[in-house]
Amino acid sequence: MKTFIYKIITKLKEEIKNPQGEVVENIVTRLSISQNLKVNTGKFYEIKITDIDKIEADKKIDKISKEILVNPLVETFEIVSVEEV
Amino acid sequence: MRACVINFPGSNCVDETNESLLKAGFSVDIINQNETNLDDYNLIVLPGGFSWGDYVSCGRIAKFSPVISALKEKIKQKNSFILGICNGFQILCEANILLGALLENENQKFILKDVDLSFKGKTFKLPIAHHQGRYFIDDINKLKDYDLIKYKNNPNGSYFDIAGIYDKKNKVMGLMPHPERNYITPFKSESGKIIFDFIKEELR
Amino acid sequence: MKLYQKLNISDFLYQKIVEKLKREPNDFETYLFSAMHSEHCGYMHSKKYINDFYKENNYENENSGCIRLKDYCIFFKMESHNHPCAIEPYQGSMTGIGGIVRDILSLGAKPIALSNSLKFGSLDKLKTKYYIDEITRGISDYGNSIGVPTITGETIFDKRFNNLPIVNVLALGIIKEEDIKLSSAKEDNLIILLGSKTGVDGLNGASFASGVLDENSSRQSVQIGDPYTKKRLIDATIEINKLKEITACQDLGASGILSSTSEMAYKGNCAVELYLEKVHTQIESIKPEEIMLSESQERMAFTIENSSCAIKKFDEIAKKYELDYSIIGKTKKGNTYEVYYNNKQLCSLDLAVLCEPYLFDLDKKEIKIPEIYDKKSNLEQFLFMINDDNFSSKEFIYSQFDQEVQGRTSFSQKENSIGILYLKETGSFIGLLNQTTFDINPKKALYNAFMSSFRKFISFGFELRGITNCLNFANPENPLVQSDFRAVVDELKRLSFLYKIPIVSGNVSFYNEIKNEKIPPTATLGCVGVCEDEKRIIKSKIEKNDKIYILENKDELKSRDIIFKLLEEKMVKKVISTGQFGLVGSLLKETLFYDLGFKINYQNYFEPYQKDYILITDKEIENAKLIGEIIDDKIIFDDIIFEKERIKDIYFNKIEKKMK
Repeated sequence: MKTFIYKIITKLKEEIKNPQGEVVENIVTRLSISQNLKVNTGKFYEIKITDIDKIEADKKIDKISKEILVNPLVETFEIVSVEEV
Repeated sequence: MRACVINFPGSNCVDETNESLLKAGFSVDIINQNETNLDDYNLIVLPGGFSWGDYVSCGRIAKFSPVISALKEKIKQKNSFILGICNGFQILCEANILLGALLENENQKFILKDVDLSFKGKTFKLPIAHHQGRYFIDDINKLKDYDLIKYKNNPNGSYFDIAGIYDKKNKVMGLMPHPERNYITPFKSESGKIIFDFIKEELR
Repeated sequence: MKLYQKLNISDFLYQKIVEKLKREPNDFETYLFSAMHSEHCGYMHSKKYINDFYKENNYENENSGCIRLKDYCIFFKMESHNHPCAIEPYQGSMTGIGGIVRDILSLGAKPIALSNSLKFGSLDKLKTKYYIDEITRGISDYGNSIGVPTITGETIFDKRFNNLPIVNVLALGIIKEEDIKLSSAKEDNLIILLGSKTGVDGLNGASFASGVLDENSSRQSVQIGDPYTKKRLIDATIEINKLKEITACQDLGASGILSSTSEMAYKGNCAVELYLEKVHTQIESIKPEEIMLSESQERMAFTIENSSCAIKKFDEIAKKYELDYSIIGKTKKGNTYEVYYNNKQLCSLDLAVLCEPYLFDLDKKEIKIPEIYDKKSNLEQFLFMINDDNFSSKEFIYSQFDQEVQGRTSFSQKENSIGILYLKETGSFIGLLNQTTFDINPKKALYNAFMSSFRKFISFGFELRGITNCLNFANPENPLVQSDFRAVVDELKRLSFLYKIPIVSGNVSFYNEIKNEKIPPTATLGCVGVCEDEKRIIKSKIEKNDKIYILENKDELKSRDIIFKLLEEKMVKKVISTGQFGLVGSLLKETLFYDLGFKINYQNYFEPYQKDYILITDKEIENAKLIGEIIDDKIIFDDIIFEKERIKDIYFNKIEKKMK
């Protein structure tokens, strides 16, 4: 058995209005830090999982992400890192 | 006619929904997320609240419960009416029983407010009480077989001013406003009756 | 530095402990004393003064007292959560609600209403906006999620709270009197801990809230709220308390397991043995003293008859709500508090020594306070009022609270300053109101808060029936603070006996100081009124050409009877008792709600908290003085004329605009 730590980011799809992102955009513009930016927001998950190998663990993480962490109609996810411990 | 209210862990509008249904003339059972036999019910209500704390996203986790699988089977038989109120609407969307999704309100805050609504030519007021009620659908044409309940003054940034949707073919309704809150309380408006009367009409 | 000094026990108090114990406490025991003999748990500076209010046959040794309606008891209590909110406002306000709900719940009562009294600094400060956003969000996320409506509240802005917001929250619950579970344990029972795992969050919260805050006050002392677990804990506790095998129930608040188990045993005249290795914990490395003092949220303690049948029933309910529990000890004959960890005895203390800290005497100096007459013109006072953020509608805040869940709310803060619930259990209505007033003279401030609540209930057709309170003061070691505190307590005592209004529960919060800034004496009253006759509740729309009368109030009780009669006979559309902004302010708030103005000719336009009542009606009223009428779009008094539209914008939109 092997144990992996997956780091996963979920966020709203870009075409969907993201009010939290807009707040950051507005304040950045107002403070004249930059006039040219697009901000998206989301959530971060760190999942520690133990399985027979990485292929199996990958499958399960994919299922967890698709079915629990996001609603595919409005959100996407990205696995930003995997590390074996 | 028989109705049931599904009490998911974290649902919190169960009592008033139950009372409203009794007042509307239904006999009511309160069932939990593990119930799989829905045969006896003409009306199945998913009440408001915070199922599983709404911790991952509103209504997300409920779709894994046995009662939702049973509900999907029940809809196929086309002999019942399904009503999801607030968190119940979020659950129906997350479980792909209704089209669309509910996002965080545009002002990023919980909103409690009496809102003006229109549905099938009628106009009336009902309260909303939610943090994640901004209805999203990528293409309005997908809702051509639906009746729409619309806000007069959009309070939360919902696409196409949508407060609720009714899938006529499958008799499934999702509502962000709370009809059960304007029906049973002394000195309160009884505008919620419009929704309960509509359901009884559809079940006739 | 000795351990007791590190734990903020003063040399004086340590000496008192050694005297009573007749030996030095060991290290583990020193931890226990640091919590139990802190101001927060032990009420050491206030206990001598807060026990002889008018009580009316109440549950005096419990977490909360009640008023009675038919076979039912309505328990309510208010508590402060100032220190946690100052350093971590979101979690602080969440767990403030969580804590006060547990106090009601521990008696078995179903929580049916919440309210809050919030004092923030000046709205022009960036820090105030941060506090408002976070504290409002905390109350919203927690209260809404556990499904208890926040039916009323008050928000006050005052620069004296710039660095230390005051957060007082109230919970109210209902239970049939015969179903009440008390908190005194019986001998030879098991002690069960139900709910969240015990962790290191909220460690030492009690001693943290018993000192003056400084910039280094750590966020580690703040507990983390979990409303989803709380919702299940509420439902499970109500069900568990119905088991006849349950002998006592107590919530875990300040000083967690230590305070709840020791108090249950001390009240029940029995001894305790605890086995700390049995407690379900968040992490394995948690130390025994951390288990004892942890203030992890969403936990309740029960004592239960020692039988497998009883445990089985408990287990079934815990499983149904997916809650963890552990049997952490037992009660026995005696008077000791014994704690073991892996068979090693850590302490054996006399419960009386542990639970009865040293009590201080407070100074009471008569302080001559000059009456200040501030002669401002009517125009100046009017402009002052509309520029004061306290005058504007607080909708921005209360629209984030669910005021209607449970379907009992007949009138919420959307339309009324009193939140009104219908109790289907008794067929009556109860009203809830929070009131704090300020004055250079703290005794007068308390008088105004009490009497304005008394009159406000009457104006709605209700009778004030009970009060809870939250007394927020600065450092009690300061003689001026001591005198202020005693003046407030004495006045509350006097009024409670004069009008026979029981003070059912209360809370004292001292050390509200930061960086040499003290808060002013802040006595928040949580008032509950009852209306058993539906005829007295009027819901009618104020219209143009309605008449405005003044009903002179020479005798509070006789005026009450006159007003009740007017309401029952539907002779009036609205009765108003004046508030902070006097006659003009109170009338204005009422008429703006209906998008109308008024024209009056009287005197005392701005005197706060007047005795006399305002009547609005379309009928003729005898024995009342006609002073004006409702008009469309202007505010006219004296020789002053204002356009309604401008004031309307200030009233409804100013706070939201400032918060952006």
